[in-house]
Amino acid sequence: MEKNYFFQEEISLEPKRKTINFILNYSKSIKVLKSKTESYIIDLN
Amino acid sequence: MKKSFIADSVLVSNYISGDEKSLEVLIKRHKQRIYSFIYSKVYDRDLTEDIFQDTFIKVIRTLKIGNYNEEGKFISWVMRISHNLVIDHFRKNSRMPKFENSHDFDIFSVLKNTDIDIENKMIKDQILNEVKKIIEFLPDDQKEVLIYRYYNDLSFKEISEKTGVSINTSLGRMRYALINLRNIIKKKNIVLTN
Repeated sequence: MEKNYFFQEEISLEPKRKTINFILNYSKSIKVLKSKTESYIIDLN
Repeated sequence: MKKSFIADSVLVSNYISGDEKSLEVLIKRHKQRIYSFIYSKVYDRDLTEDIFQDTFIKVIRTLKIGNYNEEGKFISWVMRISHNLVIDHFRKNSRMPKFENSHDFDIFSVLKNTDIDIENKMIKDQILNEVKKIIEFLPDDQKEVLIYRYYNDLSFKEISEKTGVSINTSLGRMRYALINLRNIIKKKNIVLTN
């Protein structure tokens, strides 16, 4: 087969599924505690 | 059946109210744009993944804690966070990005990304607006010196003549104005770097 020197592997410029899953899981794993003056984030993991 | 489009602001509001699915929609909607933006600065896939992840961790924390103001566009705000994280990365590594000549063709090395230019302008405008709002929180005497100096470009001698106080007092007011601005920015968790 003739080699195509202009061939470029298509790179998808988007995050991996596992990165998105990590973010979504992180969001579900934190809880916000609110006092009168301040708010705190607690990581439940 | 035609799917109805839900605006970012509605998704953000739903997410803050506890709808986790809205976050997924927001990420899916903007992932490519944000990812490409980060990649165009760092040229490294793994690092881009890390910064993308850190960006959304920051987004989540700010939204959940209730510090997000729906004044600008959600996407501009997220881009600004990612941009700041890119800067933090280069600061930590004490180097600026450089183009590595490799066999892979890199589109960013030959194309001017107008999207990013527009984005940068939007970010800059938003920062200037935020700074103006923060200045309003300052005491009048400090606000006056700061506006004369930075917006009217007056010297401290001219400011002292206009305000009827000594140069030293003007300098002192400017110092307190800057200290107070820093405190307000810190207290309100505002990110201003462009």
